Amino acid sequence: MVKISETPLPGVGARFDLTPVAGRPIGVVSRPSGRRDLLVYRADDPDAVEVTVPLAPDEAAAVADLLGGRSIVEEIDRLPTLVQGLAIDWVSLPSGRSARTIGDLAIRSATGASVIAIVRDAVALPAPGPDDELRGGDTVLLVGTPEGLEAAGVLLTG
Amino acid sequence: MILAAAGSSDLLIELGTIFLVLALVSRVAGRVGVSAAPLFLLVGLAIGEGGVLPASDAAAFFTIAAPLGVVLLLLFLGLEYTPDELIAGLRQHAAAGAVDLVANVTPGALLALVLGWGPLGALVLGGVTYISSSGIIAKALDELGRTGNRETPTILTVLVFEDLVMAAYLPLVAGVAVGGGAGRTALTTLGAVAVAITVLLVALRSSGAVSSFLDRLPTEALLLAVLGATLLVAGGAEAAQVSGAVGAFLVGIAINGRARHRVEHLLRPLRDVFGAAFFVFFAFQIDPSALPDALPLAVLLAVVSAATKIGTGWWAAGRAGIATRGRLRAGTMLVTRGEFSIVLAEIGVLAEVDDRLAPLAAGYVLLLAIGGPVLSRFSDPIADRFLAHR
Repeated sequence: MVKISETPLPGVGARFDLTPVAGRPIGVVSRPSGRRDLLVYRADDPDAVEVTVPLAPDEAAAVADLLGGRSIVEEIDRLPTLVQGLAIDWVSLPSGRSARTIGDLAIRSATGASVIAIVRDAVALPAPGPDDELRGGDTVLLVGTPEGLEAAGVLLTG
Repeated sequence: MILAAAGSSDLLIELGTIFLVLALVSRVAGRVGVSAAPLFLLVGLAIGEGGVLPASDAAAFFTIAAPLGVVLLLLFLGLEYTPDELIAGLRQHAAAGAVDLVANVTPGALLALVLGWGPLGALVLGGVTYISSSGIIAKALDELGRTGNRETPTILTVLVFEDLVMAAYLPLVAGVAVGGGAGRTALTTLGAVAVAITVLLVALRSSGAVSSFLDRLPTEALLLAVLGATLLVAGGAEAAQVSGAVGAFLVGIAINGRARHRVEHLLRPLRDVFGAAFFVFFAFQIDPSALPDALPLAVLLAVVSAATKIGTGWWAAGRAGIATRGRLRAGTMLVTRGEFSIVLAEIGVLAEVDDRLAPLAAGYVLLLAIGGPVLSRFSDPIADRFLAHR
């Protein structure tokens, strides 16, 4: 397991560092605006950054894809073949809907399906909890049985 | 009516000229790579009474705009942080915060006492030397490519702590400024600090509800609602002698998440206009002929309090396991003082602490707002030359 250390930067966001087995320490500064800074530390002064590459949200997503982000999507696509009877589906919420929390909607108790990610404004919120809101225009990733997914789809879009 | 119209043309011409000069100053500052805000003090000096180009009609505008500028500056300070960051700041960095407070209030407070300005003067000038400029420092960190540096969290946590201390310090100063005997002063001060802490807790608790309500408002309604609520809370705090600035700071803390980014985006132009007006107004009240007398003291205070800040940053970064170069980077970065030193000095000016306070504070802030980032830029060569690597 690669060891990544997280350091909060009050007023800025958070910094994530890792020291590759071969090569210089690198890091990422993550800002709430979605901007990411890619960092490479100096060889002679490990406290100081030598190169900072600011990335806009879409650029950061592209780099993440190149570095293996796609493998997550591929894994998800393979999951149903690994687990018999498991299905995965995307549901888009009508844009006029008012926001309700996952707990409020009681999706799992009603249908057996679970929300495993919310995509809003092209940003994914993985593994949401019962207090997270589903809003109009969101795309929701669900897992469950094929029947459960159908029922959840009706519940969310009806 | 005709008279009023004639008056307003003079006012508009003066204001237009002043804002164009401010634009020019801002552009030049950007080119040279220094913060524009302290340079606006120079514009204020030039157009004030006894300045090179006294502006008489615009005075009324700046008198009204200045308090709005303070309120908006503090609102933005509050917006910077989430409640979690503030709580973590208080819990984990109390030691560094306490050292910073003691080491950097002392130079200003001592000088004020030596000059015979009394307890209020000591509190005000101590505050002026205490508070680093989080605005200028955040910008300098970005421009120097140091946001990802390992000493940066230390710098930022010291700044968070200072900004939180401001929330108690401003009501304290306001309480002492009201005066009226030691007993009454203590009572108003305690009351004010208690109110500030209560409102802070309410702001921390209600943050989620407030933010999600605001986020549902369309653009224009959001702009007006936040502006209105901030002024109302600031005014209420001022009426309760807690200092309006703290009220605005707390409103900023209560706004988070997506609403925060929208508010920042919408109100930034207002903040820039009224913030500039505040700096102009502060210097506007200064008689330029008082500056030469104040300068030696300002230099002395700047040198001493630069040293105490470097010591604070050096010590705090050392505790975080940072090496020599980084420790000096942290220390020199904290030297920068700016907008909030002027906010504190203004309270002292309003309470008529001493005629020398305004020119001293203006000279002091000019020196360190410009000198601090420059010093920090050359921190690595200085460290290599004068300090052995460890």
